[in-house]
Amino acid sequence: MAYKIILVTVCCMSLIGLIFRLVSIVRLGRVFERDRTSLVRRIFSCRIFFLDYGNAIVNTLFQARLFRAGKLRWLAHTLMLSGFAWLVFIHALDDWTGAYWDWYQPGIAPFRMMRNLAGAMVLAGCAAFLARRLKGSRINRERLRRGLRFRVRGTLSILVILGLICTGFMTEALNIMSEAQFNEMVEEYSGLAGEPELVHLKAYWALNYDVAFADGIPGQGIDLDEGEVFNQENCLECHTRPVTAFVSAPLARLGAPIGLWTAQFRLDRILYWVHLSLALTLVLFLPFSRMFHLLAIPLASLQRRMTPEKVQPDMGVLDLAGLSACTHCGFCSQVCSVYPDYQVSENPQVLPHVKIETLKRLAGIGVWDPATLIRLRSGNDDCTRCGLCADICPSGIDLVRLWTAAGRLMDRLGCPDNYTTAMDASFSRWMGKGESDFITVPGVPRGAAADAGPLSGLISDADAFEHCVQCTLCTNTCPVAAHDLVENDLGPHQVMNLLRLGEQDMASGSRMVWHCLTCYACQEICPQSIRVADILLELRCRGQSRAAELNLARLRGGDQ
Amino acid sequence: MKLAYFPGCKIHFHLRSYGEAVEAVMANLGVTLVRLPFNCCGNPARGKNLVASVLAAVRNIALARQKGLDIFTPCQCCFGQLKHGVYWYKTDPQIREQVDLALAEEGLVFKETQIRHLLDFLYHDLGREKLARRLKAPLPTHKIVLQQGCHALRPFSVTRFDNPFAPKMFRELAQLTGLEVIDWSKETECCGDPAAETNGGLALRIRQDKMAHARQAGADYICTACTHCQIQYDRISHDSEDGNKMDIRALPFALFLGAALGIFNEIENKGARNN
Amino acid sequence: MNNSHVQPGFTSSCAQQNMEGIHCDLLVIGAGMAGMVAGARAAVNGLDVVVAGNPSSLVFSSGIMDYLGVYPAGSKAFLDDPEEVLDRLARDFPNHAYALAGHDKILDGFGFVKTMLEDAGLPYTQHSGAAIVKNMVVATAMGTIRPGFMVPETMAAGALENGEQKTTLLVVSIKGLNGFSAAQVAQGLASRFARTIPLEVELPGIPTGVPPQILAGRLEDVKIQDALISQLLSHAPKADIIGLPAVCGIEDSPGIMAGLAARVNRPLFEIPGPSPSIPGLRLKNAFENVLAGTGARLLSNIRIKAPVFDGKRFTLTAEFDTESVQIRAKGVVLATGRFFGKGLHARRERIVEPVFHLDVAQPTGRHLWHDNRFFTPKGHAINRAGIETDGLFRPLDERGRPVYTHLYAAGSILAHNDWARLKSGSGTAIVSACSAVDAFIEARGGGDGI
Repeated sequence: MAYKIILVTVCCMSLIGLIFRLVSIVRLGRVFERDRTSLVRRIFSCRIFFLDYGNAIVNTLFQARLFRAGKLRWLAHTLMLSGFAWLVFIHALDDWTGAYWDWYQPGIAPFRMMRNLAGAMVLAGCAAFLARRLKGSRINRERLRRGLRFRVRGTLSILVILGLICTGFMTEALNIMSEAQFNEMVEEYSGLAGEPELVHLKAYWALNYDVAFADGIPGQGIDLDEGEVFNQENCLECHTRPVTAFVSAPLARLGAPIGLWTAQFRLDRILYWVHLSLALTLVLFLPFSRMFHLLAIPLASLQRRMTPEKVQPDMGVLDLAGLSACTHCGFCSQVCSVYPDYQVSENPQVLPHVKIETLKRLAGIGVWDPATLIRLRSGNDDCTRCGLCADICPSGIDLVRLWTAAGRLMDRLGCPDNYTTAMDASFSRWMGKGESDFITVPGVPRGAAADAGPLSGLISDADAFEHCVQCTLCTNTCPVAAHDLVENDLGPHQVMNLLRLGEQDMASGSRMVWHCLTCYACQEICPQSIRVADILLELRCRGQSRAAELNLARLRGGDQ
Repeated sequence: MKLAYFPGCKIHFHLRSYGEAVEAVMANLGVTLVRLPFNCCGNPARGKNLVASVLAAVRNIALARQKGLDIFTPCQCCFGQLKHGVYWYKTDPQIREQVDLALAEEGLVFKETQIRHLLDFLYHDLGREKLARRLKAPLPTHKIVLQQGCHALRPFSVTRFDNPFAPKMFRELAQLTGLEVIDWSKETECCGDPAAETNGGLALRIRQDKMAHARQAGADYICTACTHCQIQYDRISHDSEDGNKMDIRALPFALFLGAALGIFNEIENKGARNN
Repeated sequence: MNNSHVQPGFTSSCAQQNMEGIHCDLLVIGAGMAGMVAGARAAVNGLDVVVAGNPSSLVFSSGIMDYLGVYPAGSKAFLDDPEEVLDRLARDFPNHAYALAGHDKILDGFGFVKTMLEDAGLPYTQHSGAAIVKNMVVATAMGTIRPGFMVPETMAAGALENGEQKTTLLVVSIKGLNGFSAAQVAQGLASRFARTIPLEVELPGIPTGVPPQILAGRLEDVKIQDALISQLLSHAPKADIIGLPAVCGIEDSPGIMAGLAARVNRPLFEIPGPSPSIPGLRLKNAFENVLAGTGARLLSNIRIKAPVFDGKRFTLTAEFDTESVQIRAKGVVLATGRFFGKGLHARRERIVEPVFHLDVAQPTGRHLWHDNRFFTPKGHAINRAGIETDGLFRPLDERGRPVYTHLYAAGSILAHNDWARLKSGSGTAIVSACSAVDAFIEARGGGDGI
């Protein structure tokens, strides 16, 4: 009874938590969307009939995407999930589900065995996950650089589940051994309480059911056949031999001495409540722990994928659910096409699994650190939208849509891309007032700064451009000059001239540098073999750093 | 024959039909395209961080070489960038040092390997005679103008692909399939794709100019050999404002070749995006 | 200079395109006028030829081809008939390309180039009087006049004879095109015509300082042509002939000019104008197409270094950005130009030829290179420095013998030719290139074991 009350209470609280969580997800959308659509409208904005039910079902039931991404991980996860599902429905909730089988009893053979099997599966899965986490393979440690927060949270969930299973086995073992429970059962279900014939039953149970009797069993005067008859009459309907509990039973046998000792303070009861508490903890914190992905992933998988024809940069409700569906598995970053950008820039926001967390946080609490926003902008702009991360994401999150929406979100948060910053900056702002205005943003590459050796190769090396005789062949052949005739400010030959005047910064802010198509027509035709296009690109690299600096300064509240 | 297949970042999500056409053609020609865990060629990073773009390019080459394979790509931007990666790696000792360190993290060592684009594979590796023998039937005489693609042509000193002013490979291959190649003044000019995201107006004007010239030349199709060029010309059918009904359809050469090899029946449908 | 190579799986069916090494019959170093003509001449005659260099120098050409405009250098008058003074030139400069080649070869060379360019869609015109070989005279953007032996057809209608005294010239300039002033041209030509009228037209979307090539591209657009025509029509009736800056399209300029002329119902001609020269660009494009059409291979923007001769053939290094590649050739034509083209290099005391380190005929000391007065009628001796050759255009060593049997020199690198003042640039390039190639072909056919 108490159990039922507690269970229902916890479930209600969990449900409230779930609703709270879902609402908060929807409210994330407020940051993404331009207009303040009402909550209700937003929820119902996803078109029910256009959802990808097939994908959601296949991914939820069979973890199809995880299977594609990594077979071993899928195995561990499937073991865990199916074992756990069984335990929830055919163990934890057996008061209700057991009613559908009139022959269901937790203590009889198939169900004992299945329960142990399920527990063992979950155990195997947990062990695999933990091993991977603790071992920290080279891929995990170096390539992914996960934050401590994720490591702790993720491991905590697994430890709770592990604890749940272990306490489950231990409880079952203790139940098997428990003399007190034997006595209770005898009292309640047989007429043998206090009778001298009980000893036969006791002996039978000591031998076959691994009960540990404090006083032991008398060596003489035991009739096991009599015991068996009593067993058949009173017990067998609900209890078959525990040997089918292939984990708990050996545990019981091995732990008999401990079992006897702990029987004094009814450890079996205590452990039962511990086991129950752990289970209820999981339920209670489901909306707020990693376990929430049980709900988030099916939701995310419902979303129809963005296609190049239908670029929808704003986030629907399901995409927001997708933000929460991330399990930090890191598959996305392992396949990320621009991983080399991360290697060189050391900007973790290049990596998808870091980006998504930052985005979620951004949507939740707004801009908490301008430098992080700048890094996110840089990392997201590095992304080529190749779609490999979205393909492999086991949670089914449409990452390409996310990254597209992220760009626009950052625009609205006052952090446009470097191109926009460069084009919008006034001349004096671009040039700055002095050296001190050039602040460094950690994690954003300096580009072609004078102090960075190879990157100043051409624009600081007079030999690279001084031979320009201003013949203007480059500008004449430039398609940007031809098709942006009125808007374009400098032809390539004029940029060369700026370099000859030592005005690298000025040149790096010109439209020509940012619009250059890199078609190399100028470089091919230059009679002096000047690497015109390479110089323009180097100036652009230099300009990227400057633009990021200006952005950061503006976000921090200064106006330079 | 086995080649390491380098599709580039754009095909998978943005232009799947092109990748499918290329793979079908290569399979028909008896080439096994091996998939390796390549990363981006580095072209998008070129305007932001030179070292990153070189590392990206060079890592791909090192990966392919490790497996003893040449690289094959249907994208001219990727082709050019891979070649540039080799150039910068060889030219600048500081870049080389940084790149070597990053490669060593994975146990990779840079060694050169051949980088082939679809066109120069067909022209040099397979050869026109062999290709001609495999053609099932000449195509109906479509009039086409060629979008040569600038990143493979220039700078010649780096890419060594074809004559940058009067390229011939694309032309001869197209003529082999029965296509009628028409001259037009815009053949070697950039398609404008690199400006599409930043300066949409410029990209649009370049496209419109190309279309006008193609129309004037009397072409039925513009024929491309690069993912980016194809995406750029496809934009016309997807942009809402530019509803000029006189636009010329652009199709990748792989489609025409596939039709001539007897693989595809209707090139028009196959050429639709993500068909 | 390492050739790192990986064998492709298939054997290349076109072995000579194998990037490990390039083999050819003739290597032409330099892709200016001389280089392009040499390459085309060789390819047309069946040689496997590679041309290495930067074709952009052709864009600096006005498009007008000179035989001999002035002799002696510094005289004020233009030559009517170049052939007349050839003997004199040969006496004065026995080593001059014209002296070595002779009038017939010069005419043959011009004819060769004219035919090729015509086939490539760029027709040229010679003086219409067939009996005597004559120079034409055309106006320039400066308002001056200059001679020319062959001019692009689009300039031909403006060839100045003596009959202009009775006609009215309308000179048109385009707003935004710097370096071409209708007023200046009209004023400069005022004495030759009954009347000259300057007119500035404004074309849509053309900003100030428009690069000429971009303007020329715009003029291929019918809408822009319409705008031009509509402004011309109001003034055209006043004039007998109309001159425009030479920006009337890049492709099919003859077609565009013909169309415009028909619409204004007046003869139209182009006036060679500010740099970069569009007729020069047309020439470059035409030569590139000619070369490609003949099967010659162009190595664009590639430097050639370190030649070695083993008795039978030359081995040179082609410096690509990514690696150096060996070129093996039976013959070489050195058409590397002068100082700007890096065919000649001026050191502190001496002028050297940097590829083969050939002897350069030059003044005995640096102090003799230049005269103190920039515009001295005597000219500057440095402009006459260069490579001396034998009759087959093979560079000579200090003993006056060809350095190599099959090394030739052509073009502005040759000595004793102050081409800017003699107005002999194109002719020298053409005749030396053709003669060199012909000599090589003949020597090859002569069976000396090549």
